[in-house]
Amino acid sequence: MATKSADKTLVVVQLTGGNDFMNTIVPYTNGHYYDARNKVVMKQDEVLPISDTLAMNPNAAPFKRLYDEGKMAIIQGIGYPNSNRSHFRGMDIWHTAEPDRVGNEGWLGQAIRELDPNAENVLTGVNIGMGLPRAMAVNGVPVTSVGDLENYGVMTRLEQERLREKALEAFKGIYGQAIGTGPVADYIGQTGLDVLKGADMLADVAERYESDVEYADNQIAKNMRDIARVHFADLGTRIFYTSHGGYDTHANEMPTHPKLMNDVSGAISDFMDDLEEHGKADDVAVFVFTEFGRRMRDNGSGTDHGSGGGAYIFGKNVRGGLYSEYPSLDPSDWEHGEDLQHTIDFRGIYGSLLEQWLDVDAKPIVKGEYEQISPFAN
Amino acid sequence: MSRPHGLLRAGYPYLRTLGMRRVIGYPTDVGWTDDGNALILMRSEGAASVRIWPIEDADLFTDDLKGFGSYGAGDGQMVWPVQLITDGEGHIYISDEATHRITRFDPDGQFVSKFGARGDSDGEFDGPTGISFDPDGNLVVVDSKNHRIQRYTVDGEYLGGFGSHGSEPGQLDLPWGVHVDELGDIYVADWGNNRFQAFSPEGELKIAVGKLGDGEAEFDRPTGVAVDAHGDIYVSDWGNNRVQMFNSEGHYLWSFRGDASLSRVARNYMLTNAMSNRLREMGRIEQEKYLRRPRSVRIDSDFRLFIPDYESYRVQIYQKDVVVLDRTQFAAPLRNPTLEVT
Amino acid sequence: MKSDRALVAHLMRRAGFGATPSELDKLTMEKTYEEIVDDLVDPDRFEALDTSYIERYYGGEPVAVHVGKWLYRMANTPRPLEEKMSLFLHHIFPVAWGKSEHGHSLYTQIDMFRRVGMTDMRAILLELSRDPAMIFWLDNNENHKDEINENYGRELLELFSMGVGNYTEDDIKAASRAFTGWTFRQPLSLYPNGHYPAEFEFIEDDHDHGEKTFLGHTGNFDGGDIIDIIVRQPATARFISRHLYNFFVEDEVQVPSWNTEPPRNEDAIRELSDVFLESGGQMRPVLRTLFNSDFFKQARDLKKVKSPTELVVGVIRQTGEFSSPTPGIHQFAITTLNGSLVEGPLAIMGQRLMNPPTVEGWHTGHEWIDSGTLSERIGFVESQFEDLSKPGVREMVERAGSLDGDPAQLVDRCLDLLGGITVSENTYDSLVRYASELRGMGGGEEGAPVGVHNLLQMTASTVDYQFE
Repeated sequence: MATKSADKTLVVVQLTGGNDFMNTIVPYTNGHYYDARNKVVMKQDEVLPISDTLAMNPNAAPFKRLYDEGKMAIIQGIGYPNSNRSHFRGMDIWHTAEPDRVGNEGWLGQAIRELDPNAENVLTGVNIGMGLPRAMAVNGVPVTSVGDLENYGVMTRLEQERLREKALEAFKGIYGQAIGTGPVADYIGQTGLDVLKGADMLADVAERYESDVEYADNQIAKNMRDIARVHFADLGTRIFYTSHGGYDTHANEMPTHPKLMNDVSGAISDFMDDLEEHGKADDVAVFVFTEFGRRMRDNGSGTDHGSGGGAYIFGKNVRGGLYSEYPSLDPSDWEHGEDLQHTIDFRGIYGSLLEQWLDVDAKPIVKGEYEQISPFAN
Repeated sequence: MSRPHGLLRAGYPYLRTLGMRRVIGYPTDVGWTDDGNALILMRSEGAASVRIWPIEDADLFTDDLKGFGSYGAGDGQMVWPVQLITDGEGHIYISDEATHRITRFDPDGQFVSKFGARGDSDGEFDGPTGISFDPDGNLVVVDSKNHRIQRYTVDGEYLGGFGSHGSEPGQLDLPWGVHVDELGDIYVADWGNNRFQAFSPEGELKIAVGKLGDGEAEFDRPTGVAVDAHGDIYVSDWGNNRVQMFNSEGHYLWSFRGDASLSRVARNYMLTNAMSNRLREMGRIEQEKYLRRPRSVRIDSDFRLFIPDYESYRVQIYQKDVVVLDRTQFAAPLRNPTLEVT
Repeated sequence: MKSDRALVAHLMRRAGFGATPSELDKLTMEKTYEEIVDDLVDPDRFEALDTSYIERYYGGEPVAVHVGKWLYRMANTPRPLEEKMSLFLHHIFPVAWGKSEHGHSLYTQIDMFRRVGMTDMRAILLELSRDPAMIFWLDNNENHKDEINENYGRELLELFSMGVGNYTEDDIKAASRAFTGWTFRQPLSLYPNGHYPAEFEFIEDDHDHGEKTFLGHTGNFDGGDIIDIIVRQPATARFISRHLYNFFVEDEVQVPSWNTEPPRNEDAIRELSDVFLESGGQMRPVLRTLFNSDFFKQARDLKKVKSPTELVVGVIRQTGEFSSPTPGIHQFAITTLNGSLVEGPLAIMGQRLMNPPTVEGWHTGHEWIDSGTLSERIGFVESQFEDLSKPGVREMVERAGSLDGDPAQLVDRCLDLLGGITVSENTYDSLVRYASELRGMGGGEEGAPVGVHNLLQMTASTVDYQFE
């Protein structure tokens, strides 16, 4: 195994669609907020204050608990220059750390290459979900994407056990024998065997897992539990990735956003409890981000794409609190006359995570030096 | 309910626009309820449902968008819905050319029943599209890929049909919309042949109008057809982005190309979109009023013409303005044109 | 039999999206190889697909719907090379939806490729330079006479025509100046009525009418003049020939290495380049030469890795599920789940059509394969061939015959049914062994019954099936 289980692990959670930062960390005493937001607004007497000016969304009570315990760092006003409000361009920028050109290599993929330079462990990077996020994609860097932990691998649709056994045997034979018949066939043959190897490693992870923590029955909770299961199996994974969708709340935000807040905060706090129960809380940090914040004004039912959002870091070894500055809500400061201005460049936060947590040089990944924060305790 | 002797056609002014992107998906057909709502049938790849929207339009983008139905093959769901009609009791019927069935909903949008199965025998469908009630309350269904018209009771009992594939008069090629007038005559949008045809209740051809083109009485893929109580005929002309209007004899009168203004909901929505307002100002804003790919046309008993403006996420409504003329006010037909001063 | 079945199968895979056994029966019976090539390079001999027929059934704004319509065309066109050329041009002139999210302009761009792809390089580059999606993608809308933006001018020379090393920075500046004022008219905003088309616009006042020197020629050039000069360059002939060779014949190294790495087959590139220059950049003579060449015929044995699009379209042609408009083709691209975008198999295999990763396009060849994309390829064929309700699967299972027959003959038939493919001896032996193992399993105690479709699944899961 290329990596030691005592090494630090980073879990990245993507909130897909652009989470409404102002309704997550609410400026509950600011008149500009209440002027701009008519219907899609958090009432002053319902929010959970964390300071004189800011309060947690009432549906994110588990976050409030983690914040009070000093395990949640809130990065206010994170963003990038010249936001064009496109989900896909936005996500590309976050995934490749390249706001100025269309980048090719994922930031986490590059980190995985540093952590496992000889590509010895197909599980150094693990995505829980369908498809590989761009953030983890770098050519030649093996990462594993697990859509269904109980059924990971090939030939998984064959229900009969004996058929599946024979099919895997045939598959292994065909891919194994391809090795030595030319460079491309070698490569594909080896990749086929890697898939089988990853499947073998993950085969009994689900069964081996025991925990008193009861995760909720929703997708992000299941994904966080799968991350816990793989992590507790000590397979050498250093970077986990998962996504939670539904944040593109152009309409019906008031009825739908609370569930998102409830699900994601519950899943993350359960995950933290699970780590604690298994004595693994010291070495795991969870980074939560979204592609952009939303518009200052609501549209009567939801909020449209904006810029200047928020990100969060959770962990026992995290120094909880507020980082950077809340974007100015004064209309004269609004970008394009309707958006929040970002106050810290996301590449500095990537730098903080890479250098201070994973011990990987950030400069070649974020292409330069950006203002970092110090969110970790030691 | 007899047809007027003649009409003084005062005008056909644009009335209003309903909806906008996000509150209405691609509208493929429209019906209405007794209590002043439009039932907008929405269909695009992977999404299908009915939006209930006040014909008077709504002021604000609200949280509780009303509607029913969802994408899927289960009861009360739809995959490729084509047309929506209501009966006298407010029940709603929707054809689905992917699942080969007609589904009936109660006035609250609850699933009641369905019928239809794929095939080419009597009583089977291959892609049911247009639906309309005949004067007896039976359903006339366009069976598009079998190129024929069929008649059913509302419970799905097969009553007969006619039609064959081809381009000769009376034949059909992938027909789409249908309307049965109060006399029982059946008007069909003959999509593949770029014409509309009218048949007697027994299936005898009465008129056939149109050929491929973009001139008067020419079509590029006619989709829907409607006939009003005066006998005027409306045909949505998909590829030419217009609705053509004909009198009951099939004589071309005029075209509707679209006159949309911002719906009330769009107006309020745009107030929160500074950038979009600038982009509209820089763009060729005139094109915003025109129809895009209309898939149907409908007219209600108040002579309001509804055009689901498929690719523009809205419904445009016109109001017919005529005076009914009697024999003393409307001369008999002329054999020859005349330059004589009258 | 007028032509060789295996060779025609190879031709139809490379110049199109594969042939079904009955298509191969007909082609080999009726036409010589050269006649088939003539048909391919002269698509006007066959009636084009009726666009209105496709639009009648497939409606909607999401880019996945547009990709779905394109997949439908690929699977059903009577003009396979025309469609394959539009995919080729999308590979070498990659414009991504992600920057603008204006799916409409991507779709019209592909339509433009279809229209001009088999004409000549001058028309292709001219249309490309006037295409709003391209103009926005490479910022030529920000290329003003008093504020030059070199992005398009640079990529036109570097990635779209000649390749690094054949021009100077001054040539880039001159080309960029020549394309000033080539922009598009602002389409209306997405709200409240959805996307409107963008149209090319030339703004005379914003064009630099001054004298320019480009590749040794001097004049008051505009973009069209620059393209005229470009298409006469031997470097362009060579660059396009190498692209064609890479796409249709054999995997080359990735484009950025072309100025340092020699072509895999120098003679072939020279032959194609000569035809290109002699014909004034006409695509048809070049393609005819390519498909009739010995190097193309011999390329049957070269391990050219299928792109995800080639794999997916090949499979949906086999399953017959989309031989007429049927719901769900967009799901191969992107679909939605619980309100969030979930990627379809094409994306998971590494090819988001109409949304390539960068202006360099996709890295092809063995770079299509990693553990994630390979699992997806295998999972995809497993799911497609297990469904006996699909007409093509049912037909293949019937034509393959019973598991009780001779396993070697059964494997032979499966290979033919999957498009006349060939496999290595090792793979062949493994498949025969697997076929005889399947025979003993029968109905089984759990799950779906074992059948010939399991052998089809395995055949399509082999290393060999990853090759075109």
